[in-house]
Amino acid sequence: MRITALVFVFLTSHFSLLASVAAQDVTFTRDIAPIVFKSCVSCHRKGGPAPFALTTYDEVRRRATQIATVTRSRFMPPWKVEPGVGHFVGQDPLSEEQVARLGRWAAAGAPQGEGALPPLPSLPDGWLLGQPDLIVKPARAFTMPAQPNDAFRIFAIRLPVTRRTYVRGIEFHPGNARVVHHANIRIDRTDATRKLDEADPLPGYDGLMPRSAEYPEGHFLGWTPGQVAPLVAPDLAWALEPGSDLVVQLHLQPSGAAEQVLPEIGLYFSDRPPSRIPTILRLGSQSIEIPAGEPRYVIRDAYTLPVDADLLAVQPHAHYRAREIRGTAHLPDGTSRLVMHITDWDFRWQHVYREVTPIRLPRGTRLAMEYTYDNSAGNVRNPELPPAKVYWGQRSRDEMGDLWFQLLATNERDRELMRTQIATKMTIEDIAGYETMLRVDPKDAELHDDVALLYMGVGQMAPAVRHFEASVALKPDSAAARFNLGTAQAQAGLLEQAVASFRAALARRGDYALAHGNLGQVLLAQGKTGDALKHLQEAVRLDPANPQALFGLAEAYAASGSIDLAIETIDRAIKLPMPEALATRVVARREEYLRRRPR
Amino acid sequence: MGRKLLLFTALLLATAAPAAAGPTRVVDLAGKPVDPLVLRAGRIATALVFTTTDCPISNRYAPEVRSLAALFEKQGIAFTLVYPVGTDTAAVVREHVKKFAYSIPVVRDTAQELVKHTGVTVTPEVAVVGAGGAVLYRGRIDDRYLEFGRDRPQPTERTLERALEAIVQGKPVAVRQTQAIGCYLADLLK
Repeated sequence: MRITALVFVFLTSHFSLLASVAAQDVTFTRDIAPIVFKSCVSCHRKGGPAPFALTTYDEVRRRATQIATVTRSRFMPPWKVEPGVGHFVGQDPLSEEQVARLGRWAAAGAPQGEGALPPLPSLPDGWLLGQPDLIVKPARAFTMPAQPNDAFRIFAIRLPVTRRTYVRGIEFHPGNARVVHHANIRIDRTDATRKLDEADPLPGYDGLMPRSAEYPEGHFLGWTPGQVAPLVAPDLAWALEPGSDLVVQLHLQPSGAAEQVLPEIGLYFSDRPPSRIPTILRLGSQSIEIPAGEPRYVIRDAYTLPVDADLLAVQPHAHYRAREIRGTAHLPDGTSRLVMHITDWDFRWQHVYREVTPIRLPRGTRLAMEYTYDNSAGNVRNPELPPAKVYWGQRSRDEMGDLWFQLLATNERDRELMRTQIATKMTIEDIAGYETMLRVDPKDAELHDDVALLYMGVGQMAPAVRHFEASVALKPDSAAARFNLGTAQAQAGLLEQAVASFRAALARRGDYALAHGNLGQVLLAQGKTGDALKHLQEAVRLDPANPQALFGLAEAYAASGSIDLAIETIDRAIKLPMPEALATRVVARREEYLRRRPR
Repeated sequence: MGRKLLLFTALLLATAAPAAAGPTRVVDLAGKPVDPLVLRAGRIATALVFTTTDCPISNRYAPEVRSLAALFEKQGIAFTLVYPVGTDTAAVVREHVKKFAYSIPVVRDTAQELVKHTGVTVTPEVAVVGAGGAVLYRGRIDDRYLEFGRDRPQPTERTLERALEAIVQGKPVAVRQTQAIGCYLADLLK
């Protein structure tokens, strides 16, 4: 023991001697500037997204110890993925030698050295992807007050496009790098986000993004400092419909002073529709329920590819209690590879990780995710102390766990199979999310309504009926709640109950056209033609432009033997726009009526 | 135990000793020499809040410093903002004070006399000095930051506030020294 210790002392002193010799010749000009200019200044420059610039000797010298500290801890450059996992766009970690060199330089007093500096990379002040085809920003700046804690703000920004436009990418400018830490970006084809934005007197609003704020089909949007997603190839551009809003959720970190926040987004268009559309797979759990103090809570999910596909990008998402993020591709040949691995998850660095070269995943590949959470006081990022039980939810104080994959079916004709499967899988998980929120808040009628609609979408009528019943119990005076319940009951084959629900809806609102229409159709199915005719006539009188009601009325006329009236009515329906499935039925029934018309 | 206590007292005296001379080059924004180590009448201690204008962590603490000052000024603790870096000229400091809405007295310590006296190493860091310039507390404002890139959503220990409470109540300060996280003065003063 004693001898070992002696040797150790000798080695240490010898080593520090070497280090001090080396330190003398570490200079900014020769040894440090090449590192900083290559790995730091793309963000740390005037007008860049970082809070201070590192473009001159003086700027770097003034933070020498800090630079040594944050590169040693690997906080900077920000790159959360474990070494050896993936080969991503923008992946440029410092080598051990570079980190050591920065440390020696700081310890030696940050000497400048002599000679010429290497050239600064040329970084345009404006748009890194070139002049955008369209630049948008919120109508007014939001003033973030001087407050101690982080804030979130959602803006709905009108996109002035008058016809379907194809988009190759966007570039996000935070506007105020001192406070804007990252941005979640979505597209809302409805006015749901805009209404929430308008309801708040200040610019933007604080809350949740509505379900209708979505990624464009097959593509991720978003921004973290230093990340500029390259434009996609023109044959992968995504469609932007007129009337859509760009939805931007900003994660704001306080600067200590009141700050003006006005981000700017540039959009880059393609002149033609895409020939291929990627598919977004979301793995994860929305049943998260972590006991207070639980230091190790694990969620898992997996999906097996039904077709060959290329993996283009991966995006992990979780809130503050997640610690380890793991995504694995189990290939059909029995091998597996990590496609994502983060051991020190930080909510603030939610990169989209884009593969430099897409990874080919053969049919039968099982994509799996495993996230580990720490809800104990030992997790310094735990937002609640003492720790409290936490459920799945979208607010930052709730917890989430998603691993998103951007997949491109190798054969475009295979895409629909994969897309449909994934849509169903994700809807089932969304349903789990609603059930979790309802465990927390069982008296929220809107949650019952939303989840019931999702159940109907996947053909599960019994739970849909159950949730609409709960909604009726919470809103006994609402005609709409009775109508929804009746519709679900009708689809579940519970015709008697459906009739009772529609009559209850009409008792609360006599001029409820949809309730008359659906009631008429159920009565018709029960063979009660006379009563059916009465309600369908009323439905058409109240809303003459509803093809469904007109079709129902035509059917009632046909059932009561008035075939001429049936034809006249179905001809009115046929002139109206309607979903394709309904149109097919309408055309077929019209042929049938014509055959039955007495000559 | 008795021996340790004795040593401790001796150290305290030693720290307090240089204050006898007092800083000579600390100035207010008008350039007038001031000595924040001398307590004004009715004050029991002064919290020297060291800051630099371009340090993001230091700036982020501005609202916290303002509210602590408002809370403790009433209880006999004076608050003074100290700018120890030469590039923070009077004009730059005036702009900074305005932007971060500070209303507490400001001094510039560009010869780092207060830095040396108190032993602060980063900004933001606070030194609370009592009678005779004795350093009663030195270190972080709270434990929000553990290191760069690792901080708590909210602090679990308001270290400075606890120290000031003890001083106001005439009790010994339980934690007299902590490590603050922020911008290293050593780099800025080279």
